[in-house]
Amino acid sequence: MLSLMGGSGATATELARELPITRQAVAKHLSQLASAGLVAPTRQGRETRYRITPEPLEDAVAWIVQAGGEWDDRLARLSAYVGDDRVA
Amino acid sequence: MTDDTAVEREITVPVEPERAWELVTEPQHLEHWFAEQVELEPTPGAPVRVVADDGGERHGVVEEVDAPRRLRFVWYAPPDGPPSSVEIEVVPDAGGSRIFVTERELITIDAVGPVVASPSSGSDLLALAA
Repeated sequence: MLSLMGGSGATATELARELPITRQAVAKHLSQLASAGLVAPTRQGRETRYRITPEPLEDAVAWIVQAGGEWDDRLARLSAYVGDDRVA
Repeated sequence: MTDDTAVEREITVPVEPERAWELVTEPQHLEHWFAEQVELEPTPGAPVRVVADDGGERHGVVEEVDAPRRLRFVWYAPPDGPPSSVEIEVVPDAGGSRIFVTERELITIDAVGPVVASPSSGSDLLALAA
């Protein structure tokens, strides 16, 4: 569903046209994706338009870079520490 | 999507697995490589408190211990840093011991959890979000 949304987002009606499920089912899934923070709703007349939120993915990448760097540093220190005679 | 937010590292150390276990669970060793100050006891439920070189703190709790092989704890940076779980596994290796580390961010699981927990829609949602 997310892959169908494109840059401008989509409404439940638009997505239901492209998917083999009802508009009601699409709307329910969209509201669940919104609860999970993966899409952001905006009212558009009688319908709600959903756009993919980039932030969670960008945050995830930032977290991986940060946490990965910390472990690289820690394991480099561990390697140096076990090379030390006092440990081995 | 939980696997998207995991960091995995491994390292071989030239010591016996029992010694490697001490290196990854005893503060006297942890304070040489893990962080400046480490409060940790390999007992489920034991508090974890870590102070990094830059003064940044992490607090957590030991969740699972399978001595002398596996330790898992969760931690976060107060007051509202994203919680993550850290799993450290020691495996015998030709060169001594192999240490595997996996740190996994938990906030994504928390956010999606209530939705995924719903049996009627969980698998559909994961498929749609993929």
